[in-house]
Amino acid sequence: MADQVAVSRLRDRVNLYFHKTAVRESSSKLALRMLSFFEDLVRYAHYETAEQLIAILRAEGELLYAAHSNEFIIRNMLLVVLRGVRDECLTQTSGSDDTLPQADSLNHFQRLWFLPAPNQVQINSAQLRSGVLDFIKEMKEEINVSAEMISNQAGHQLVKTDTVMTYKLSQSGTLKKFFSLFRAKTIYSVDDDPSAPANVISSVEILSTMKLTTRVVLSAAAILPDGSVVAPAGTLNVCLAAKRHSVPVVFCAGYYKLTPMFIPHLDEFNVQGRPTDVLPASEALKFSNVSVANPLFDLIPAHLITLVLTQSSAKTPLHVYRLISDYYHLEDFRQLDR
Amino acid sequence: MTGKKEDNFTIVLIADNFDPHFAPVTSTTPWGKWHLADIQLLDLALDWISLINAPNVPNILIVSATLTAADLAEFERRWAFNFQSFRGIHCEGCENVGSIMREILARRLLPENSEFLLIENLATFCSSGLVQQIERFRNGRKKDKSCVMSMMYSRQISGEPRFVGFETESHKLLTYQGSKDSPVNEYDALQEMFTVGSTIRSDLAPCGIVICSAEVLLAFSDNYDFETFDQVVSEFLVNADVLQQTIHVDILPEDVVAFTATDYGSLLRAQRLLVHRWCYPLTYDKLPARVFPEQIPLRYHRNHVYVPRDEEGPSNAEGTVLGKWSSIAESAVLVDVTLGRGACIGPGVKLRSVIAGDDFVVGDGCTIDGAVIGDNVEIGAGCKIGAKTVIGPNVKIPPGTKITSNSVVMDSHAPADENDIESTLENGYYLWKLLDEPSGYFWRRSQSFSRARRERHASSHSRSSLQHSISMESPDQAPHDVILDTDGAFAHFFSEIKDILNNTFESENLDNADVINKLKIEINGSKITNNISQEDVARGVFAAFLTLPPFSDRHVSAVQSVIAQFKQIWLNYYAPRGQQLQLLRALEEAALERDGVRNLMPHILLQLYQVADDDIDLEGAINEWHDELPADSVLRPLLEGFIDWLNQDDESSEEEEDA
Repeated sequence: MADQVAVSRLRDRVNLYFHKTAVRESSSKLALRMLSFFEDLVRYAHYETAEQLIAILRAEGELLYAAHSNEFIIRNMLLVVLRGVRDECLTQTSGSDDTLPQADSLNHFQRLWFLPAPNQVQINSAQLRSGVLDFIKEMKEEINVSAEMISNQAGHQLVKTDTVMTYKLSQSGTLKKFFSLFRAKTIYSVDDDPSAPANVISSVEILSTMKLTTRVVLSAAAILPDGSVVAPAGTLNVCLAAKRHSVPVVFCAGYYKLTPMFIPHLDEFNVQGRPTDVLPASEALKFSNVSVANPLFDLIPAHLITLVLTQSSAKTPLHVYRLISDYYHLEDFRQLDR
Repeated sequence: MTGKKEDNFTIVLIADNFDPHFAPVTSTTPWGKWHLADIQLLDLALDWISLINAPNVPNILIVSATLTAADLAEFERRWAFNFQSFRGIHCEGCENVGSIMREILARRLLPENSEFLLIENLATFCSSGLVQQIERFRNGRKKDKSCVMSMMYSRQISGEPRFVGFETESHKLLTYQGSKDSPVNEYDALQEMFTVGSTIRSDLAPCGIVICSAEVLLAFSDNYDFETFDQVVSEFLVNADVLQQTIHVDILPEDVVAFTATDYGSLLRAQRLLVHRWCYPLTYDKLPARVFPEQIPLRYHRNHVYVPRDEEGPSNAEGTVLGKWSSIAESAVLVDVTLGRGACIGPGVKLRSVIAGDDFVVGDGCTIDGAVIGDNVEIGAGCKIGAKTVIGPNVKIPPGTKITSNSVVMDSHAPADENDIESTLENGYYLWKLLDEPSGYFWRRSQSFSRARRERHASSHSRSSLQHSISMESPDQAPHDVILDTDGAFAHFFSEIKDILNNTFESENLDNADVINKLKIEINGSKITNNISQEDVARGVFAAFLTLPPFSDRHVSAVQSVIAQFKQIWLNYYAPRGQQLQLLRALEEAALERDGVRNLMPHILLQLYQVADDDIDLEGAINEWHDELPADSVLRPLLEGFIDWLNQDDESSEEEEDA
């Protein structure tokens, strides 16, 4: 049962990681940590077939996601890894390096005739392991370069003479990279700290500054398949003002933020921050009938968004769902529960 | 986790609550396992404690007199991974913080000369890892070894104003008021307060977290009277110039929230702060899943409502934490409420500032405002529970009752060995009152509490009052004769009297009046040297008398004759009623203790009665004593016959058979 011990050790370690990170750190770091967790699982757990591996990964992922249900990235990374396992399985059985996208249903249908299902196939588990590990390494690489690749598309979307408005520039790694590689003439950053490399304005000035703006570039925390976006709290103001003045809104996100889940009401998923950010601690008991809410995220509906930039493509909100099939496998959606 | 130089930093956590005000709670559950919703208090504490001094990982030492080794092992299983080393030690028989600290020193649980962070109350919560404070203390120690302790102070939540005085620049503690009822001594330091720049603040309170050096442990062992931490602090202050030990006052910054709950009111307030996330990152929805019984964590809903992950939230609630399987009616209004599992709240109920345990059933239309309630409590419909009530486990309150504020409602009498609580039966439940509090209230510690308690205990020690509830099976009674209290003087007197009586008995010329006189003189002499009160003399003499050989031989006639021989003694010492009662109590104690005396008891009483018949009247005393015996005393059946006979005033000289 050495692998059981190893698995529980890994679980402990990842739980400790969540415990220690009091302040939510950047999504890319979290995504990398999740991929490392799944990578370790693949490396140290004991399995014979792909089906078993999938079961192990899903069990551990579910447990983790249950404990932290407002972190979409856990689930996203789990789905990515599961897709990697299935793809690896497919390449090994079919012997080809060529994995056709699932959306191509005709081809899929055709394959059913010729290939057995993953659980009936005996594959070399060592080969499976190394294949999946390679896949995960690639995915990690993609996360690391996602900010750069997004910025490379900046040239297509913006011109140097644009006046760009953004939100909390210094807190988003993606945006910082974006603007360092692309020098727009004027950048306005809302609600940022004064040391940011931009003109800092406060949220009361959004509407008046929007008259001068030509583009709004924002960073998303999660992209939902209907085209709506979860963004840091306060972004909704900027988007509504942009709509009012017909300014295009562009959201940047790495692939790991693609969340195949619909959220009817953000209250259930929203993370609440510290009340001390809003009121000083000495006021804590003074007001006995006051609750201090400090939500960290806003839900931006699809009709306010013009474009979503991922590292590989630029899509309108209506077509975001197509990206889902690039990264995730249909089988996995059916069984994962909230 | 490794690679940091000074990682032998230990956190010492005392997982007990010795405060007698918390007896309604701690008499049934150990403090570490008392639960708020589904979470045990020790888990809640460990959640933030494991983040102390992050990113370094601390060691932790949990010491408890009430948690068993098995309980501690369970906690270790859940938390050991978060700490560099986790030790849970169970100390038997410790009754206060002082004795626990002495245990720690005696068992060498801490490495020599190490610094440690002491948390003496589990209900202490802090939002920060205290990295800077620990750093500051260590640097301070490097510069100046005289700083032995650093006390954290923050804005207080407990509502009772306390003051603290310290030197403005160096933050050295000058005057300290631990709790409302501890006396403020006059120190020489007061003079210092006028010569150096000092600050006195009354808006701060110690938040229960203290960083100590090894000298603090030694201070506890120096004086066995030290029971609470406050006493050690006063000691340091008083001896400041002699021992050159100073205490540093560390005021936590504005953005750190830290507090400790020392009474029920502050416990409710602390819970409110936790639920409203002031202690972020210690919040109910970020607790790890493993502390919950079925690994189902809580999920946050709007208005600070925390519900287990797979359940729906209540409709009208604010600031609420629920356990599993709760069913709350649509029209119930919950504000600042914490419920355990299986709660069932009827329609129209208004709960405000309540902490309740498992299986809490409330009937329709009840109002509860400010209460701490135990497990398995059922409250009938239409009840009104006043503010500041404590309800114990398993209480069933009939519908329509009104419970006045400040009461403690329990389902049984106070535990047998608890002689500080008075309980009365009313309406099917018991009301407890704490002696030494002016109105018997448990809710809050009054200013005179400590003093009253000390006085009462001191006087009871010298009076050596017998407890009627001495258990017969108590295994720790020494095998020799009569166990009275531990007062040395009385024990001394008793042994002297015993020797005297035995000698007199053996000399066998008891009919001689001189011998009796000599006996009386010797008894009196012993009384004076040992400074014993008259009543104690009465008790001691008879108790010693019962150790004479005839009583252990169980010869009825020998017993009778020896009682008759000592008649003069009885007449001398047992004329007043009070002393007669003492005689009877001595007899009772010896009877409970030894079979021989028990069986002979009716004969002894009969003989005494007859011998003393003309000169002193024992009947009233015997009746009074008999009435005072506990209803379930084993002596009652044996005495039945005798008491009946006595009351019939039968002149027959026949003896009654034993039961």
